Amino acid sequence: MAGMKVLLVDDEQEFVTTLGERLKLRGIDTDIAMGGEAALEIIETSVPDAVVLDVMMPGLSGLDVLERIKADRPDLPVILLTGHGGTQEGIKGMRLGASDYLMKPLDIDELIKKLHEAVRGAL
Amino acid sequence: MQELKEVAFFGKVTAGVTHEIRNVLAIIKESCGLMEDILCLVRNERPEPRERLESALSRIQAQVDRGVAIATHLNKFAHSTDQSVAEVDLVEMIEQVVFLAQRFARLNEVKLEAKPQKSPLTIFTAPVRLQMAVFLSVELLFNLLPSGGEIALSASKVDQMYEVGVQWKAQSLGVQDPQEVIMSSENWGELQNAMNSLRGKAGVEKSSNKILLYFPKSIS
Repeated sequence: MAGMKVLLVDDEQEFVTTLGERLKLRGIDTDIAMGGEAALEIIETSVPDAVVLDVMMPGLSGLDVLERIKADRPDLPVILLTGHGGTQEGIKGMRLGASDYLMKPLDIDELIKKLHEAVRGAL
Repeated sequence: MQELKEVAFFGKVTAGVTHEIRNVLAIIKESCGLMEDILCLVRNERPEPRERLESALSRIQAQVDRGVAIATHLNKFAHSTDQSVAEVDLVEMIEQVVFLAQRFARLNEVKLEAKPQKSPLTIFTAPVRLQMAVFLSVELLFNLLPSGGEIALSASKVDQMYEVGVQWKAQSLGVQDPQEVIMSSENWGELQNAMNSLRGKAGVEKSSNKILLYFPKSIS
């Protein structure tokens, strides 16, 4: 799936910029949003192939952002990132329409695999 | 009631902090990953410093994984304060206590493990007090066992009660009657109090070298 474009959403700047750089080295085009509001603005003007969304952010939480994305663009795949040891938030997110979820710190190969699966599933 | 609020507050703050720790570890992990990616791009240049850098990065990655495991268990422990009474899987709980008590085991030069079990054993109880009771039992044995001793935790269902066994093994204990030593210690009184509040009971089984904790299916 060449030329995939992914929007990374997290309030931890160092995390998203580094992850973005690593994805770019693997041929995945990335955009970065430092919070929920910024993510929704980007999606309005430039729809990505998938969104990687942190659950716990100040302001709009990841689950709030997920609900808004799914209301406007139900087919846009969203993968959630959670920093919690448990799986409750990930499961809650999947009930709200997320394609999948991953625990932080993540494995980049697993993220790419899940992105491909999610984008394929949305086609 | 005030005590419960204090425990819940402590748990909430700790859970929040473990979330932050995971964020820190995530940034370290991605930064290491990026350095590895860059090293891959210069694979054919100056192999010796590259190999040394790769080795250092893999050590950092291993410590990140260790930190993640610690933060995960600490987060679960903190969340055990969310509800004063809740469903608890005894098998998962003893694994959790074993993980959290490992540092104390290392300091006492004692091997501590949970016997692997496949099926969950769920009871409805007070999670914090339950963990405290199991931890107190382990601590009793830390005080008893010499260097090189072993402690193994297991969970099972016996008739209508649920049992946690804390078994010890040592070359030589240096005491005539371990049961008496355990049951006359200060921690034993504390353990009894915790067990009473859990509507359970504690005992020592000489023949199998075990402290046995019995819990009802439901505290209510």
